Amino acid sequence: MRWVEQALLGKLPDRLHRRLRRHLRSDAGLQAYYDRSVEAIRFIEGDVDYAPCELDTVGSWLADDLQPSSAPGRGWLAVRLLVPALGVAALALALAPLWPWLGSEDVEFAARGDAADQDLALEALCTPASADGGAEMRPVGVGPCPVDGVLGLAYWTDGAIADSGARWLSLFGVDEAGRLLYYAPTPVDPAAIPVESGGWHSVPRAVELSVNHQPGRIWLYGLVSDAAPAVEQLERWSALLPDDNDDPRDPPWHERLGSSEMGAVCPNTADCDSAELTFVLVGDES
Amino acid sequence: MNTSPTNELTADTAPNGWPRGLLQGFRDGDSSSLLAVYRLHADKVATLLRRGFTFRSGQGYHRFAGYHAPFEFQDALHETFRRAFEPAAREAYDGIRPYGPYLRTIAQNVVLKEFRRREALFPTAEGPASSEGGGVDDGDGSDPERSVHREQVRRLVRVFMEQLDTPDREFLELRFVEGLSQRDVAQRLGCGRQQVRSREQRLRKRMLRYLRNRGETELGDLTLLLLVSGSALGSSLIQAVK
Repeated sequence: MRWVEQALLGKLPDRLHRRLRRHLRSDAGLQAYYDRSVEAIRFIEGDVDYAPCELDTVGSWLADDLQPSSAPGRGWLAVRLLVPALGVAALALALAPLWPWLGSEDVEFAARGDAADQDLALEALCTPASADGGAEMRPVGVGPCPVDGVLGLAYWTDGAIADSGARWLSLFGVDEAGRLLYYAPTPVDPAAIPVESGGWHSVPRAVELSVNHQPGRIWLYGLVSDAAPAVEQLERWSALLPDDNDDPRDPPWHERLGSSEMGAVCPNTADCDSAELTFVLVGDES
Repeated sequence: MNTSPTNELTADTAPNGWPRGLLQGFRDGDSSSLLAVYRLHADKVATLLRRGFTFRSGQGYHRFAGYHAPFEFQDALHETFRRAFEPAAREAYDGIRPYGPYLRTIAQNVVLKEFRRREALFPTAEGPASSEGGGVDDGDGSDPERSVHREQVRRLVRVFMEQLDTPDREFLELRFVEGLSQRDVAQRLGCGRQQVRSREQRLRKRMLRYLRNRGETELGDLTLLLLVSGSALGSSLIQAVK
């Protein structure tokens, strides 16, 4: 259902359209949900034969068809960042110019969905720490993400998110062993990240993976909320995650946890936005 | 790239009314050109698939009443352009005739392929010659379950709209009842077009969440009924014309 809503709001990344279509074909319940959502849009938009967003959706499907099969899902290529001997903090700064490019495919959906609702998307990029004189920086999923590298994070929000007042982004991960990985806030730095509006933004901190990450799958969770959570809340949420989160019918993770768990930070879950992604860290032997 | 078709033939205009660069890109299979062609022609093909047409098969005339269910409709629209953009189909198009009728033929073939697959399920009858268009049947053709289902959705949307505050209701009135463009609504409300877009998107999102929360319980039983009754055939409404 999350993907259906994103698709109808013009915010589903192109790489997911094909998967959503496959789900719609094979899952009659999801298709019924999709159909009545579109019928509602048709009705509220003047009882039209079809809504403009339907043509946009089909356009996205065609764009997906037309992508060369050898290209990575988002059309991303590796980028060389010149980060000779930079520390982690400096690397985070070096990431900043990458984001407009990184989101090049998403620029389209940002333009189509440049609205004031508070949708959120996450991206993670990794680079091997051993790079000398230049580091190959690329989104997770495009290539292996070595556990001796550095992890950079980015988030996407739509244009008017900051208009609704101060909002905070919190980020954490959970590994295969169920351990919580603090990104923001952390026990050392309890500050969440002030949210910037409109498009992709780098998270002004990067993670030395070798410090406390192990090879294997990582689930990354992000939350935008009016109140910044404390690390104790991240600990509680991480104990309940990951759940079965690869189903497009799932609502966002903060809604899955429900107001009883999110109450202190999101008294009304509709006022928060969350996103998640998963990736794999590989060790030396991989 | 200017992708607007034009009636005024110039050196830069291909015989079919497209800019020559667009026609060349189309022939080369350039993805941005193909998507530009889609944007040029999507509306007319969508209208055909949504409103239906009459056709002759064997001794009888049949009316395809149009795709009502959104996913089926979008799937057929996608399939039409997917076929049209295949290399063989692009090569077969001479760039002289208007592209619209060529696309309509492909769209009709997409529908007829499905019809032939199910032909045994539909009776034939005598009727008028082939024609396109006609109004969309508000009663959703001969599928009473889907009609009831759609009315349930409408009822939920009405309840949602009643819960909106006055400015939001007025906004929807201007935008979709009076049919003003985003630019005109911005002028009327004295705000920027960006704000109009944002507000429209925010309302759509609120409605989808409302439907998700309310619709699951209120429509769930009905959805089950539709699935059990095999209404997958429902919106591919091919009716024999009396």
